Amino acid sequence: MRARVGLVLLCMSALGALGPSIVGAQEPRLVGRLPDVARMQVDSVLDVARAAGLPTEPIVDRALEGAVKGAPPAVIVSAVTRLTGELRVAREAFGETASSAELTAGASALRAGATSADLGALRTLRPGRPLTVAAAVLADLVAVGVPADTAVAAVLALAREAGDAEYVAFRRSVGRDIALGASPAAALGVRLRAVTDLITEAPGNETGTTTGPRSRKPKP
Amino acid sequence: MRRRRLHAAVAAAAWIVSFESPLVGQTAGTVDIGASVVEYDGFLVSGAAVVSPALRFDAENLSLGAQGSWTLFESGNQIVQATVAGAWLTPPRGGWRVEFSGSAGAAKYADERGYGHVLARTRLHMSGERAGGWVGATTGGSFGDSSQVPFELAVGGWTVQDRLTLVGTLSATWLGTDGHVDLLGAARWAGERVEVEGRAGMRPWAESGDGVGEARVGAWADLSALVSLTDRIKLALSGGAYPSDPVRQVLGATYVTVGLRFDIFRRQVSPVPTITGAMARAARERAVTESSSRARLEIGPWGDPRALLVHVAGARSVELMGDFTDWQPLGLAQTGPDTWEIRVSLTPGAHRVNIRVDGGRWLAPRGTRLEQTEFGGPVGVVVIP
Repeated sequence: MRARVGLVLLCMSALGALGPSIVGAQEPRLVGRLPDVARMQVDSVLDVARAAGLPTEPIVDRALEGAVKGAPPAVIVSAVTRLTGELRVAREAFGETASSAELTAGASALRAGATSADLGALRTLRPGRPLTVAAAVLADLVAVGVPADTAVAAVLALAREAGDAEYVAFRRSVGRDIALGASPAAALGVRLRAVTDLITEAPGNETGTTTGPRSRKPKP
Repeated sequence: MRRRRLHAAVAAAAWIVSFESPLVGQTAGTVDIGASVVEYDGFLVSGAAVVSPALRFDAENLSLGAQGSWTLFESGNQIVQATVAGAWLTPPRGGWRVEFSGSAGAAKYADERGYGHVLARTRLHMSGERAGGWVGATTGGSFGDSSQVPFELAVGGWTVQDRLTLVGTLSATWLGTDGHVDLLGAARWAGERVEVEGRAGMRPWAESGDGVGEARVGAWADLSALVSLTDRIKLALSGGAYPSDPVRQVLGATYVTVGLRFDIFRRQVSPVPTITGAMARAARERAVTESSSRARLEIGPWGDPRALLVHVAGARSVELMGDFTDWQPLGLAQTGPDTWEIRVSLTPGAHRVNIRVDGGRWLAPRGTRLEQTEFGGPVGVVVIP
């Protein structure tokens, strides 16, 4: 996955070096917020993103964040370039119809430790359903200390049956247990079983099963 | 020797540091290193590693002690705890002595608010050759989220038969509008290389709230053993259950501990190393560890614009910025003593946000997922379904 992102970044850097005279218009939100040199380079990254069909809003936001926090121009350009690469990988995993919110959440999950294959599996298990919350919960779980592979297994275990509300409740429960002293992996295991039991027992669940959460018990 | 055994047993039965009532002996220092599995009331089971040094000075009528501990929980969180204690006894008059003692303890978990207690106690002792008893009262302060003044009345008795010491106590404790009565018993047997101590108790009456750590009616028991491996090293084993102690802000727990005790000064005096209940208090107060700000962000119910609430104590100003503000700082309006609010439009998806309190650093608020950025410092991420 890293190699893939690196290749994307390399291509975009090459395009960015061509300068704004060749590609695209200025992003008005960046005018006056970024030094001219940095703004032109970010505009170049935005042009590449547009050409690839990627959402530009999160890229602009990231540039503005860097600007307001006083980051050096080179750091800002590096950050938006990296984000664009992550968005591209997320889009390839989630599909052409993925929304900007889904791609942003997918990019965040990639940064947390998920792989392109993990995101692809999430898409496969939740056909036609929104992926934003599921991907965000994956990133959240890793952020609170759940090992990435365990977090991925849990999110995928819930993917076929769980709705966004159940993902949110699951994440909240795990966070609360961790805050109360449980190990992240143990908390995740307990809450995963609770959610899957709830889903299994829910009226209208014709399959009566989920994607094997019991066979995906996390490490204690 | 008789009295040391007695008070060692009493201290253990009281589930607090061993030197709360140190009465005899000499200078002694130990370091305990142990591993525990503990299930605090209202919590999931957690493993922990504990390092606990203790220092104690005993003269004929005066005892001083200090004990600390550093605990690393399975989750990676840490807690530091320390207690100091002292006791002075009047010279005996016909078997009667008066004890004045005090203790102070404090604990701190991660960047959470600390808590502690300061207690003063007086006891009237009547000691015979092989048996004795006392009546006493304790009061002071218990500090944490709020401060309260506890008051405790206790009566106890002890007897010594060769290597065996038996102790029983009955105590009534009041803390604010809450109260409870405890009946405790302890037996301690000290052999040449092995010391075993068992404790059992019951709480027949308790008046308290329903929260975690509140006093509740129930019974408990635990057992500990020290086995000498060398002159200076002992194997320490213990397990069982102990009750909550609202005065010292100790949670009840069930535990198993295995450890080693290193006698730095060639005398052992403190009990088997366990995760002290004081640590549980910190665990209970534990907040989301990914946060780096004392402010907590709460997203209001559905609506557009949507209310963002920031809860922070004692702030004079609160500002917020995020991708939904084009990273322009916006001031929040104070709507309560510790609550600040702003209304913004939030589209579904992940949003990044920072908060600044009183013009300080921009930090990720609690209640969000912390994400390190390339720009120095963390950002909080919230997801709008």
